[in-house]
Amino acid sequence: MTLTTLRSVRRECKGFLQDLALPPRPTTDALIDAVAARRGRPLRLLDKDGAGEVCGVWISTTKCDYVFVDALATGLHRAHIVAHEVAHVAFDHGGPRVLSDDAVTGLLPDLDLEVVLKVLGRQSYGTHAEQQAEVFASLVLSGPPAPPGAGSREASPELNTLAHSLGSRTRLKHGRADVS
Amino acid sequence: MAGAHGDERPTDGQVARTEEPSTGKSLAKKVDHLFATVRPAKGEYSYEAVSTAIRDTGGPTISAAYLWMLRKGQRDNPTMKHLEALASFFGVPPGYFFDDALAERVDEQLSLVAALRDGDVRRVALRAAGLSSASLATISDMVERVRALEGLPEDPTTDAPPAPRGKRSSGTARDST
Repeated sequence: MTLTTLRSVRRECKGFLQDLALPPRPTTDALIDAVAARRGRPLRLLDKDGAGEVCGVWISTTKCDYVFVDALATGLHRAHIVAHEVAHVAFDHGGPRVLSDDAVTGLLPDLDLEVVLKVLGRQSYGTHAEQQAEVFASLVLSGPPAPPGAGSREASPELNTLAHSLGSRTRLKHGRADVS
Repeated sequence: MAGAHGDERPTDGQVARTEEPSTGKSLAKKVDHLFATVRPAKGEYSYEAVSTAIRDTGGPTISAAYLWMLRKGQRDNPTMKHLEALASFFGVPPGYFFDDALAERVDEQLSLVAALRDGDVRRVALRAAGLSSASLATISDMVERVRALEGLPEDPTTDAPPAPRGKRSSGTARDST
């Protein structure tokens, strides 16, 4: 993730979090309720049984969004997993493709990707979505969002300083990140 | 559309299914499973469509009628090229037809794809340290739970009894609306 991209993603996440009008450090329930209300779609949190490499999963159907979180995860870890998955929901990362290429490769190693996609009839989204979800989760857990109108659309001074020292001549402008 | 269904059906009395001595599925069952499982939401590929697609991608000539006979077990002696072309069309390794362990693994993967399609699943976003066959089972289980919650029928291609509806969702499930 480039610095410019990170700042842009961070700005998007801050803006969205403000729009949700949540209190600082919202509870998991409050976050879920706010996102569900915002989307006008039911959102359900389900425990994932058993151990495994998969920590959190968002499954979106035509009717409802389901966030699965590892039943063994507790405290901050659990909150972070939920926030990450809820971010996928909140930003509507329901891209046209059901499974990312990584997931297809990992879960369906013996199947031909093209055939799988024909069966599922959808396309993919890029890494920007993963970045958004991760940054959003960090913001949710890191404290209150900046008050509206207090330069919240700008990248933090620290980030701009760092960007400058790294030779970036581009200051952040409002808008979507260009992710290649 | 499975337009070829029944059109060229020979006399049923002549059907002589050849069951393989191994514990695995017969060739006919495997071909049938591929047709039934590897398909878009609107329905199975027709024999004609498969035949044409194989020909158009430079594969061997394999007629719609012959495909039907393979599926029904009336022919069980396809050439290696036929099997390779069929495997390629359905996106499975050619070994699917000979290697029972591989076929079982592939079938598990096909089950997830079918469940995603039939469950009207638009998106599965994973947060995983790595993905493996254990993950496949986990994800498949989640998709089945979602389908059960939404009252959709279980995957008809599996013989598993229906999961107890609603039981697993109690306690942790919550509706935010």
